[in-house]
Amino acid sequence: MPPLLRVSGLTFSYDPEAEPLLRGVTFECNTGKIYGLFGNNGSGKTTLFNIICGLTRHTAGQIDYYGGVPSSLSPSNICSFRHGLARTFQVPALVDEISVFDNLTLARRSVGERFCDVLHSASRLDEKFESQIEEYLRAVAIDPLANKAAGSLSYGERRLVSDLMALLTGAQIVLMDEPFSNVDAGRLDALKRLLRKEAREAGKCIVIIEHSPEHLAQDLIDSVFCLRKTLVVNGFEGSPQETLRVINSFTYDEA
Amino acid sequence: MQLLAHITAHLIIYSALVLSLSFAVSKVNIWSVGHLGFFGIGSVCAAALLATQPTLYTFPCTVLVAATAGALLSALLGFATLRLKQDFFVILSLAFSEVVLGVCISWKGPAGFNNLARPTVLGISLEDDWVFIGVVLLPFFIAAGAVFVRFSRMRIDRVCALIQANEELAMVLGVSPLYYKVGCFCLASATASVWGALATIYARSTDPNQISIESNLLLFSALLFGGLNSLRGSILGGLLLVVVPSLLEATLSYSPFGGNYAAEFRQLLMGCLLIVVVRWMPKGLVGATTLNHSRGGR
Repeated sequence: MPPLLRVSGLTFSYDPEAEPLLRGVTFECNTGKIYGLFGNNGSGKTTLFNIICGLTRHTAGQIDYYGGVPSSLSPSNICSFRHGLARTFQVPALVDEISVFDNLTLARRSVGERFCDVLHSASRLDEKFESQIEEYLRAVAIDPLANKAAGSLSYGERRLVSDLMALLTGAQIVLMDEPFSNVDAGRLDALKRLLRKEAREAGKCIVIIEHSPEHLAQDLIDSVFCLRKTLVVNGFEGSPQETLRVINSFTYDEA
Repeated sequence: MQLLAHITAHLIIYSALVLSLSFAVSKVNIWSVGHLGFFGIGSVCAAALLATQPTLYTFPCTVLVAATAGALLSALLGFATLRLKQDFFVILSLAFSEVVLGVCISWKGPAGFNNLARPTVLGISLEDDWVFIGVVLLPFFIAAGAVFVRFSRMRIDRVCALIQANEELAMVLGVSPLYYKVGCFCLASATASVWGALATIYARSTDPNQISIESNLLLFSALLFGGLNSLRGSILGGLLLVVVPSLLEATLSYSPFGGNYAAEFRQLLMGCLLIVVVRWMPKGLVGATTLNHSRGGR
């Protein structure tokens, strides 16, 4: 079986005259695993995510999704290619005017929904998907917020809702940009449990950008990437102590 | 009675026009400032058909040609320009309206087409103004209003809200903002074209002044005054465009100025109203959404 996501020789530069921000980045992500992507500020982590989901065009290299390349590299096409790709943003993005529940129904658009489905009444949604939304909201203990307008949520709550939105798309590749920032300790554990369940049971491949590796190395990530222009650590797997040592020595030491 | 029919017909036509503009602005944030350009396209199509072949091109055919012309031109304009930033689109939209105005004037002069015959609908003669209102204008307006209200309850309305809120999020959720924007723009423009055709059939003539920059800005002010994303708001906008000038003229005729300065007073009034609306009533009188100041197109 081909890897869900394969990036080979990826090079990117904002300015053709300057030294590239990313140079020869090559890695693979497989089904059922959670990857941690670490690096200093400005090392190109978010840019790498933007390139993978098509929001930014790379200078050289190739990206294969599910062993193939979509016919057009527009973000909407990439994100609905085969089993889909979902991502969250550094600043959690939601539609402020509508409720949390209605925001989560938008996740349905990317995978498995055809255009003619959006012409149906907004109040008529299939029950299976509705109960799935409720289940996810309960899993991270934000079900009382379901009917609140997204604009009235706190930053941490917005973060949780946008994380859930990415998981609810049903996409097999999930890129999460700082999914734990501003989330309280209780819900952080619940979110980690949910992510592990998504990886183990639904076979999703989840890539997480985070800045505090301590609690992730312990009980969440299976494999580690460290980025400093190119991948200086590529898919390291080891005990939590070793993982933590590798992350600290390759990312934060030589800032 | 004749004056009342005239005011009623214009109220329906302009309310519908404000509604179509409201659709483009509030659903996908397209500031179609030159919206009357499409009204002009429909108007010219209808006039050209009625003037050349009054018997062959009956009513449905006229409406269909106007709608198709409006939809095709807006699709062309949309695909070419909606990728641009919003500011550029506003300027291009106004330029488009001016081009239509130029074509109208160079074709038939500033007076436009005259003495056109009203076609019949299902054997019903439309010569009487009230019959025209009852058989054509009112059913068309009700249909347009019903489509607007139904759209607001469909899932597509939420997808449009998503595109307005954050185009990047929409894209990673598998939505192509450009297609939705062009689709909504086409629908709004085709509707404006149909109303242009109906207005021409009603008036039996065309008037190029109707699509000047000044009229375009008045239409946009009426939309902001009534309120975005609201059927009631559009009717209030239509009232502002049609009834207020008539009342103003009637009132001024008793004043020391006489009726001579009605147009100037109308502009003064609209200017003041626009300042009040933008500063203190961002939702207009009964609007459902606030004017979106900052978000640009991608």
